[in-house]
Amino acid sequence: MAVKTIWHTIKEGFRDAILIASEELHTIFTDTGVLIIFFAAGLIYPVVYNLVYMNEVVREVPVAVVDMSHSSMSRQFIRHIDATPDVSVDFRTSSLEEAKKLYGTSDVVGIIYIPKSFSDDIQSGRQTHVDAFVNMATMLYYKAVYQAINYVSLDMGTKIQIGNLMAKGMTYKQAEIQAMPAKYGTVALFNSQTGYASFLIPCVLILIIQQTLVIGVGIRAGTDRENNVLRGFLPMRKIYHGALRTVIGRGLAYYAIYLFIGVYNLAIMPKVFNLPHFISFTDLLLFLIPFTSACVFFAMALSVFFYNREEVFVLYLFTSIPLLFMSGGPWPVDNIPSFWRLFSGFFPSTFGIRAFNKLNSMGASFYQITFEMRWLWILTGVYFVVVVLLYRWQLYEDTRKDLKRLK
Amino acid sequence: MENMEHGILAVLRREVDRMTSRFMFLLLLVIIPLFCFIFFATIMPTGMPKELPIGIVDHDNSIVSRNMVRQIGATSANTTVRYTNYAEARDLVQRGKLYGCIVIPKDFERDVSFGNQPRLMFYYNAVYLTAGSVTLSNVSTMLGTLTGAVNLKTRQARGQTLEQSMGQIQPIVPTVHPIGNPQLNYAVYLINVLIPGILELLIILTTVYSIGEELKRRTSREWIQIADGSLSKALIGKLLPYLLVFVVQAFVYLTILFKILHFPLNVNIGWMLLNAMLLVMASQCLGVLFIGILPVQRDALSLSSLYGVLAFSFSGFTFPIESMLSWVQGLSCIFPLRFYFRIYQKMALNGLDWYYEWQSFAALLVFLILPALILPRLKEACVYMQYPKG
Repeated sequence: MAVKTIWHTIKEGFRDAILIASEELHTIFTDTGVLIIFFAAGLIYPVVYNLVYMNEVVREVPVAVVDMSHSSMSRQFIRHIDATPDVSVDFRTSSLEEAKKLYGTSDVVGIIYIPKSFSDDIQSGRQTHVDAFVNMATMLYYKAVYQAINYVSLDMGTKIQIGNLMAKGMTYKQAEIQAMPAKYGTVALFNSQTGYASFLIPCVLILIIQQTLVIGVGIRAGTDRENNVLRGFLPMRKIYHGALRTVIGRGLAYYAIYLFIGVYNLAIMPKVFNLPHFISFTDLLLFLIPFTSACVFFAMALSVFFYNREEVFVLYLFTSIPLLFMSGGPWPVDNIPSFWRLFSGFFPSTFGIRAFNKLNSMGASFYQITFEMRWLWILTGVYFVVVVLLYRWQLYEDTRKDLKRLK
Repeated sequence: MENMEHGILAVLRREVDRMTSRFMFLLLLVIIPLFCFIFFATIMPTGMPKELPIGIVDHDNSIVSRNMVRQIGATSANTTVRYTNYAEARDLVQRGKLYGCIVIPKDFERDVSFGNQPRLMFYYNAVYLTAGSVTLSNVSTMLGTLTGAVNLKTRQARGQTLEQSMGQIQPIVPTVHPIGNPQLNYAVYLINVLIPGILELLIILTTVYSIGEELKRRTSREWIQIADGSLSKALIGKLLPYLLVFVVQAFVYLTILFKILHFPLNVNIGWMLLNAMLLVMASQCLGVLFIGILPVQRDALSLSSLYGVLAFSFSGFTFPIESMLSWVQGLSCIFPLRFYFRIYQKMALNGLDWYYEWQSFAALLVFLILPALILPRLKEACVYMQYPKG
């Protein structure tokens, strides 16, 4: 008898869950506000971000050169600087004052100053000093000017050295060996063109999944509270009288939509915009299953605390920026204070971004990211239990309010 | 209604009442901004990424290479070094435990002495662009010094002085001076756009929310009546308390950044206060514009959210506007944050006079006339309340 009852409850529970799921899908597809967040934001933002960072790298940063030397050597130096892909010499002047004025009035982001003694120093075997001043509006300007001026100084310096050694009777080869007994090279292992989009957008794509889910589900919950009798959390209907079945039912609805959005964001977008995409489709699904589950239950847990339809925008949206920062992408994890590292552990996006970067951009395998995957599963489990408890609490509250009214 | 107070002051008093009686406003006006400020003030304690782990793979294992490994370990200021083999190094890079790896090739010592010019390699991970760039520039300098050291030794053995040798080895010495940020502190330029960016977002949302509440709760007609039937008066009375709160906030964070944390500031702090005040007002005006375009609270909030998050990317911090596609560059002008940041970096970092940036100031002022475009529509919505409650 008891066995039969349990079976009966389970069967009924699943039937209700399916009903709840289809009802939830129906509500979502008739609510423009939710549709805008799930589909307009979830599907269009990835495109917008890709367009903003389309150019990937900063090239031909405009600089002004102050040439106090006026020698063939200084002109050669300037030509070489101009020839680098990083920097473009837009102005040549012979006074620092004029260059400073250009810095204020034009697009110039840096000034390179070649001293009067440039050519004399080199010819008499003394070190000469070239100074560059760079606008720090972005590190990428600094990087461009730094790379260009270092490369040209080193390259020209080596040629001068070799020339001097040959003048003393060495052959070219002997001179080159003396000047460079060993060479060195640098290679970017992953994201080999050091692209900005390739670095940032995968992180943003993951974040979009979590944030739009939280906001969409938050709107749904807030709307329910506005429409339900006595501002209750769940509709006063028999099929909703079970926390577990409601959580599973609604979770399934969000899950179905977000598996689709996840594949669009993480499989299609990287290919369309030529971002790194080392991950295989099977691996992507293996990643998406726990990541999406964690996000769904996380979103459902938070949604309990939104009492109005619009609260979630006002109160949750700002978290996107701190969350992106704590993900380990823009700022190295090793340099994040332990308190914030602990704090970031509550958000699926933290481990989602880390795991996806490694799988997708660095060609890692699952055995190398067991830590992140384990946490995604733990968050899934924890938030599932939390959501069921919160729903049960809300059911209790709704019933209590209802009874009070009836009295 | 006859016996009620009228005029801007009455609207103002009414708004202060509303503002102080809702928990929502406590969150929006105090708790969230405070959280964000504390977050950004404490998330980058080092200012520049430090102690980033890299690996060294020594395939040669000779006296020279071991000596070199020792020197790398001793000289690298911003990196910590771990000795490993190539397979392990690659695995650790993929796991995110190392940011790069120096490889000393086999027969390095022999090749140096035979004049075969062997090549040292540094492999780094550009997926973490910030960490990658920092390790790259550290290691490049280090490898340059190391390979130059052999040359120096030969020359000194021939009796050249250090000065003479260096004049030959490195005839041109470049020095790059980062204007206004000599320590290359990432916090300096990140905080000064992230905090105002979040502020801009919160101000737009607060403005839309507070006006939207009138429409949603059907109190908008009463609100206009108290303001003697003038929407302009109604708006001024309503927005003034928030203006005050946000301006005070901006002043506090600017004072803390520039006067207590001593972030670079090469102009009078008054200019930055003015800049912040214009940003606050521009954001409020955008809020009015959005609720005017969509006089339904929830729709206007969706629009504000979609807009507010994009402001960060379009402000040109971290990735410069000049490097974006040309139509994207044009689009960036619809975000006041872009002009705020431009004024900040030109004046506070570079110490330029205000008249170099008059266009940016003018652009911020343009945002202030935006509400005028939408007043009739908003007023109609307030009086007739013909839109859905939402």
